[in-house]
Parts: sequence; structure tokens; C-alpha cells
Amino acid sequence: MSDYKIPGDEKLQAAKQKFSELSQIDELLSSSEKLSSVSPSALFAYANGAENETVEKALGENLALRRIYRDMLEKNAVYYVPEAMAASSAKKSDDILSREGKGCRIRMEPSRAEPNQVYVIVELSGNEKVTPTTLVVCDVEANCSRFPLPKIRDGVAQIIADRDADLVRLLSDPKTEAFIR
Amino acid sequence: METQTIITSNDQMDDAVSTITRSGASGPLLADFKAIGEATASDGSTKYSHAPVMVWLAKFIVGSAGGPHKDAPIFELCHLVSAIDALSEGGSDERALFFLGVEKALPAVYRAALDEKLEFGDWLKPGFERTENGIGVYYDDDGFEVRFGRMPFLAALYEFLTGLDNYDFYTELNEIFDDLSQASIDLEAIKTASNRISARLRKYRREHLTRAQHDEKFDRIFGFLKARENAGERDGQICIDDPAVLDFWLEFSTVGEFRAYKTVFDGFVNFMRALEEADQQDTIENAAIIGTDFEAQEIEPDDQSDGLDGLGDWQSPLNILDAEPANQIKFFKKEGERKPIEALMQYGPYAGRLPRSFMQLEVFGSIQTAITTDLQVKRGETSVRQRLDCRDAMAYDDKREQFQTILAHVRQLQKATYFVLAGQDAADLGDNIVAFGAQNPDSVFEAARHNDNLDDIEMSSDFMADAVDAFSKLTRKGFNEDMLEDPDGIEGFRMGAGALLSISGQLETFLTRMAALDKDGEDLNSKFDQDKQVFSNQFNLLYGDVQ
Repeated sequence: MSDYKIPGDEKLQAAKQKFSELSQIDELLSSSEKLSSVSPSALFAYANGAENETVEKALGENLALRRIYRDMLEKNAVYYVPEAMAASSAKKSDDILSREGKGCRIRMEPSRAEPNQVYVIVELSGNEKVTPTTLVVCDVEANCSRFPLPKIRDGVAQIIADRDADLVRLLSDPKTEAFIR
Repeated sequence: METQTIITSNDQMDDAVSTITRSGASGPLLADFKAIGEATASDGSTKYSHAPVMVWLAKFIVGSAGGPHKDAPIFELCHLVSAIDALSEGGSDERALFFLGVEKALPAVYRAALDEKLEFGDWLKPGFERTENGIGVYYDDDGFEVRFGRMPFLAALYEFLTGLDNYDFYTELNEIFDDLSQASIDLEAIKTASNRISARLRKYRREHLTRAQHDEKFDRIFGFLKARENAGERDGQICIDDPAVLDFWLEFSTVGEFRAYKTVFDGFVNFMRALEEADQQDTIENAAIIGTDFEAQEIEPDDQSDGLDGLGDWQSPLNILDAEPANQIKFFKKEGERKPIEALMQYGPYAGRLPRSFMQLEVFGSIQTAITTDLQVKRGETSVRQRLDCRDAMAYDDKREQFQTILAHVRQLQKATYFVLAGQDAADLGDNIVAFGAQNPDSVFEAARHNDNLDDIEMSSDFMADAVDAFSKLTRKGFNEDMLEDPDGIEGFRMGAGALLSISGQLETFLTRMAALDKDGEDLNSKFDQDKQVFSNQFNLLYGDVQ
């Protein structure tokens, strides 16, 4: 049992404010509603290569979140290849694009043995200490796809892909941009 | 003194209740908050501890964590951001790496991250220093220290601000911090950045936190208690006791917002706390808040505990056992030893002040939760009807026995812990010193964990023999001789010792209150029977028309 003196107006208002705060705190801490939201650290980890289905799903549904993700990608990329339209060195031949960024170049060459296949060649000339492991290609709406890079030998990584593979399709679109990390 | 929070960790109960009680915080706010709480490390554990970090963040969001200046932690965060940015030319990506790239938000992790950065380079700007406990920031003949112990809190704050409003503030926040980092460190720059963030946060709070429904709840409780005061001709006093809680529920449970008994119990506890804290407002306003030891998570665990009558910033001592390195030791088995006392530890002193109401909450509140869950998941009429008569309710006597059994277990844990801590000191002094003791085991226990001068402790081979025996009989994780050689393990026991004292204190006092209930008029069994009838009747009234 607890006895309290009936508070005056000023103290009553202070108590009311406090009661509201305490109730709001309870509400925040005890809520078990299923709310879909991605924490910045989960997004940051995903931008750095972690797998996360929740983040993937949220990115698919939320343009604003994709833009933040793209920003995180850019800030953490070892190399960046801008969209081809903006890059003066972009070349186009046989619908296959070659494009360049600072310290790196991505080009595609048709396979002589398999006409339906294409070599995606990533050439890195920068002196970055970090060895990249992933190529991420994003379209104008920041829909980004991740592709693991094979082992880099003498600054070159080579991927063989079908002509209609996502990687080839995305790199063939001059408005996409690529991040290598 | 900070505000405190009372929550239960009974997931099932929360499931059912949360949908009923959501009234002040908007969906986007809850989503922003929950996202931070659910951030995980690669091993699946949460990045931020529930307590104290997430509890603190909840307080901050509602504006009650910064003492007189509710956004003071933003000021603190700006100092830390300045310091991190002064360690590299990397700008926002280095910042993100420091705050978001860490898997476990612990003081030691931030300490290691800072030291690693300093190993590869020095501060790029003057005005910063690695101090013993954190980072010193100096400007305008003044200085400010951000302690490592504060960094988990500030990281949670950084993360919350980053994701604010579905990341709507992300770009602006980075611009604010970029501007701050480009300037020379001075108070003006820090204030400017802090004010810009605070302004946004004020807008966010206005949009996402409403008081109206909480005010209504307060008014209803206050009105009810005042009416009782008038009827009882008390002299300007309102009395909050067990009958008041039950009567209130019986009167208002059909209204909707007070349908759940737990909502009523929580409402009364918050009402008491609100009155008490309003009473202490002057003290609060005069208190220095930033960087207090409590928030730093670096204080001795028993400093976070409280006596049954204390009104301090109570938090469950079980939370201390969840923190590293104490969580490496299995003090309690989850279902049989921990779960039955979780609510008692969460409500702490307030459970003891409303003992019968608390028992009603434990026994009948859980039945109501089950009914609500049945209805939500559409288990059907039969399932609900089986619960309406409360036939499976745990008798108060059985609950008392359960608490007694757990108290006995806690006593064994205390002895075993004493063996670890005092045994460690004995080892330091030599093989021939093997035992300590005193008339009061708790004082010996306390002395051991604080590493007091052992010469002052009365020797008692019996007590040590008990302690050795307790240690050897506890065949569970952490209670093995390898732990005696492990500094982290010893530290875990030292942390656990404080929590155990607090747990035993709460249990003992609550059992005392139960004993008093037993002797006050009818015995506990009779009171249980009465309550069972009352709750069953009310459940039938509330849910009896289920199809």
C-alpha cells in the first residue's frame, strides 16, 4: 500500500507528463507487432557483402531504402564505374559495352568457343590494398545485383556468362553503374 | 535520477497485450525502434543489449533520458562523431564503419576499434586525445570526455537517427556531420550540429508520439483514486493498494483500453512512479546526467539494484546476467528457474508494494493472455471456455513454494559464487588460506566480490566448505574449475554476485509480503479461492460470449 498526497496543479501536470513518458517507453519496449524495417547496421552489413533476405526483400519494395543502400555501396566501394553515358571512354561494339572508372575497366568479349557466351573481364589497375570480391551493378532506380568476383590474377578477374545473363544485361545497359568491393 | 521502465519479458503476454495497448507511438516510430533492437551480430545475437541500451534508447526517444536537457545525448554524440572523423579523411564511410560496422555494441569493442585506428595513425586535427576511459575533446579552454561505456548508447542513437523516418533524415544527418567534421572543433560547431539534429527530432516526436490517450488513462486512474479518497474521508491523500487495482479493473475492464489486467497493473505502477518522480523533479533538474556511471554500464552491478522500498532507477538484475561476461555462466535454467521470477525482477520494488495484485497478475493475468491469444489465433470456443473458470490457475501457495525453491537455488549460487571470488583471493594469498566466513553470509559475499581486505573477514571453514560444496554440485555451464583460471569467468561471477544479491533480496522481501498476506485475515489459500472466483466471473463477462 502506498499513500500519496493529492498533488497540486503544477505537480499533477508534471506527473501526467511523466506517466505519458513511462507508458510510451513501455509501449516501445513491449511491442511485438510485426513491423518491417531494416536497421542501418543490417543495411550497412548487406552493402558490405552480408547475406540478408529481409534486407533484400525490403530493398525490392522501397526506393528510398535502395538509394541509401546505393549511397552506402558507393562510400564503401574500392572501385566505382559510373554509368556509361557519363563516361567519355565508353565504347560500344556488337551491343557489348566496355566502360571505365578510376583505376578499373570492365569490358565484355564474346566467347569464340560458345557464341552464346560472353567473357566479362574486370581489369583493376589501382593500387588498393583491399582485394575486391564482389561486383555490384545498379540500375537508375538503384535496383542492385551482386555478382561474386572470381580470384583476381595480375589485376584481372574473368567471368564467363550467357549473353542473356543478368550480369551481361545489366552491364550492357549504359545507364547502370557498377561498384567493385 | 532517471526514469525507469517496467516491462515484462513474457513474450506471450506481450504478444497479446501490445496490440491492445498501442496508443501513443506511431507505427513508423515503433518500426524505427524495433529495427535497432533487432539488429544482430553474425552469430545471431542482438547487437544492442535490451537493457540498458535499448531501454535507454526508448527513454531518449520519448524525451526522458537526457535529464534536464532531454537532447543532451545528441550533444554527446556530436563530440564523438567529431572525434571519429578526426581520425581519418574518410568522412561518412569511416563514421558508418565505426557506428554501424560493429557487430556487438560493447564498450570493449569500441575501445578496441579506436585503439586500432590510433595504431595506424594519429589524430588528423588538434583537440582530441585518447584518455584512459574514452576520448577527450578539447576546445575553447574547455573539454568534454566521451567514455567508452557511453559508446554503445551513442551508437544506438546514431543508428536510430540514421534510420529515422524510413531513412528520410539520412542525407541531412550526414550533411550535418560532414559540416561538423570540416570545421575546427569548437563549442559553436558542436552546438550548431546538435541543434539541427534536435530540431528534426522535435518534429519527429511531434509527428509520432501522442499523449492524448495516455493522458486519458492517467485521468481515469487519478479520478478513480480521488473518488475513493473522498468516500474514505482520507485527508487529502490517495491510497494505492491491492483492492484499488482490482476494483479499478473490475470497473473499467469492459471499457476497452483497460480490458487486460496487465494494462491496469502497469498503469498503476506507472501512476505511482509518475507521482514519485514528479515529486522529485527538483532533484532531477539539479542532477548532472551526461555520462553518469549508471548509463556507462561500467559501474558495479549492485549499484544498479535497489531495495524493495527504494525508488531508484530499477532494472531487472536478470539483465545483468545477460551481459558479457556473466552470460557465459548458466546461473539459471530458462524455464524452471528464470521464467518464474522474471516478472518479479522486472517490477522489482513495485511488486512488493502491491503483492496481491502482483500475484493476480502472475496467476490470472497469464490466463487472460492465453484467452486473448486463443481469440487472436482463432483457436475456437472450446479452448477459450476451458480457461474461463481458471481451473489451471497456479495456487498462491504453489507460487510461494516456487519462489522459495528458486530462492534456495539463488542461495546455492551465492555460495558457489563466493567460492569463486573468495577462492580467487585465497589463491592470491597462498595455499594455506582456504576459508573465510562471518556471521552474515551476505556480508562475506559482498566483501569477496569487492575484494575487501581479507584480514578483516572472520574466518569460517564451515562457510567455505558449504561454498565449495555448492560449487561442485552445480553441474552446469560455468561452474567448473576451468572457470577459476579464466579472468573473464571471474569477472562474470563478480557481475553475477551483485545480481544474485539483488535477486535474493527481491525474493526474500516478496516472500515476506506473501507471509504477511497469509496472516492478514484469510490465509493465502482462501485469498486465492476468492480471486479465482472474481477473475473467473470477470473473464466470463468479458469473453463468455465467444462463438
